Amino acid sequence: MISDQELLGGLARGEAEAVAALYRHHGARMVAFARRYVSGAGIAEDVVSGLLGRWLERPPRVREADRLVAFLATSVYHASVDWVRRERAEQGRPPRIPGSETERRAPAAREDLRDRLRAALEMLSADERTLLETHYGRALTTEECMELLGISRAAFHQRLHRARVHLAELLK
Amino acid sequence: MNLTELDKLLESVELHVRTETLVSAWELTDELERKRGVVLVVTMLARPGMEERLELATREFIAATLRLPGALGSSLHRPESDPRTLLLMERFESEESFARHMASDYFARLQLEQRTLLAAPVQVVFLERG
Repeated sequence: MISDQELLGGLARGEAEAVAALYRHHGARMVAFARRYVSGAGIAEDVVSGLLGRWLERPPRVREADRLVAFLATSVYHASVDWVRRERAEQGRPPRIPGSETERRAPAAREDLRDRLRAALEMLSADERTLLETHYGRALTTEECMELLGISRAAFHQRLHRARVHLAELLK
Repeated sequence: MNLTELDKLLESVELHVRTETLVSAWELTDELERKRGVVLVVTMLARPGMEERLELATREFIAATLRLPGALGSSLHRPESDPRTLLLMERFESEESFARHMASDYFARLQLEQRTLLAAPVQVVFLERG
């Protein structure tokens, strides 16, 4: 049985065998995970095979301390989000908020906004971030977030509202 | 900033999701019931000077493959580290569709063309099979 570190090492060296072993051991979970963020099982399969193809072309940057699960979760999440974004662009659909303040800003101003957002997020508690990652990042379902934080549905909505207010205040 | 402005901001500037949240989501994800198909990667090493012809022939092969019922995907990848190598990733919904693919005219045509285009026999690695 190949270890997680051996798999990550093989991936970083661009070995096709490592990509194959990764898919054999984790492919079903990768597809199920992608399915959370894209609309359809076939699309989730496409997202995962596209990701493997990119790794074959350009080996992913893997740090020695990376855990395989963390590496796979972040890679599949970002591949899924990218797929959704690309799909919208290919369908000629407008940005999610056409003509919004951020869309109109120059790249430097947008980057500044991202920096301010990053800094504001750092000032929130871990629970507040989990609530916002559920609401805005769709990383978890509402039920999963409630379970992780050990709170009821009513408390979820109340605390999410407070977290949004807190973040908005930090961004003033 | 009010909450409407915040919502607009976070629709246009994606919220960074922490790794630990994604790991929690991963651990809460149940593997789906899915039919196992055939997934493989074919490695082809072109003879020097034959890279473009091999790519063209393989792209025609891919176009034909994708017209075959049961072919779920076929994509070509060129590793940045080795421009003479082409990697073909293929997905089929079943052994039967994979067998039809291997018995097709376009498959035989590519094999014939490969005799003059390849520097070494193709290598096939199965990622999933049945």
